[in-house]
Amino acid sequence: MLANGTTPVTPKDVSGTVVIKRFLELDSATGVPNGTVITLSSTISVPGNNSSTVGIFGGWGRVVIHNGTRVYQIALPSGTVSDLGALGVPSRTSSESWAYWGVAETIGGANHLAYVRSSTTIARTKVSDGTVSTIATFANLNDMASFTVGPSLGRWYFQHEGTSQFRSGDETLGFADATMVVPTNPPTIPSEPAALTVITTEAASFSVAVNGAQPIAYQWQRGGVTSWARPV
Amino acid sequence: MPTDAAAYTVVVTNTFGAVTSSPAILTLEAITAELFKISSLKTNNSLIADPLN
Repeated sequence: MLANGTTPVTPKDVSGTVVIKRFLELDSATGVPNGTVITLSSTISVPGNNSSTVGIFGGWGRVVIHNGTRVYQIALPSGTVSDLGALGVPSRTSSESWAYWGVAETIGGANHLAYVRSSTTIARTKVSDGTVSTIATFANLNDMASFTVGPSLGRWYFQHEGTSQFRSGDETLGFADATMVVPTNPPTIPSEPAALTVITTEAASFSVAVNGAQPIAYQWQRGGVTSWARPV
Repeated sequence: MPTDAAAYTVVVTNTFGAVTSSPAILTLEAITAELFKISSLKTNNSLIADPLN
């Protein structure tokens, strides 16, 4: 959940610019913030109100936000923000809820944003050149504005308001089968932590460079005993 | 972040003087083999719900 303080922010109720500073983790069963706060390494500004230009995309070990002009990645769980480049607003199904939601892909090292493009098409746009390619076509998605995927169960999830090929009636939530290619490369350490000598009571800090599929967990140890676990 | 890549040293000081460590190089390498791509989306097995009505 987006936040600029310790409570959630609701951008559609904010006029002007919304500054996102934190993510609040929600309990998967209740939807209530569970106390875990991820502070972003730098803030991200997005338009508020019903801007219809903001896109939020779930990815592998990251969340990607498109504010209508630029694309930003937030690595999880570190909260490290990086600017992925400029991108205009793609043609897509309109959302009635401030932003639309989709999936961030990494294909051959390039970032893509996958979203519902029309009532019959789910597509991806490449960052930053805007190249569009079709992922799947359907008979009728109605006004489905948002979808996401769950790799662990091999599903895609969707919501739409009116009558589609899935169901007649208002406000439908559903899922169906999806197939994804997910990272499988194990972690490697191209740069080992360097030895360090400090006088007692002085602070010491170790760093390590890693390659591998996200998300990556870190567990530092002191004398073979776990000390703390977080990326450095 | 890219700006974190640098040579790091530590200067240890006390009342009697200071000493500087030899540099430790921090290297940040891009993840090049990462792949997360939707291969296909199907319409089967849809579970329907009516959360608002």
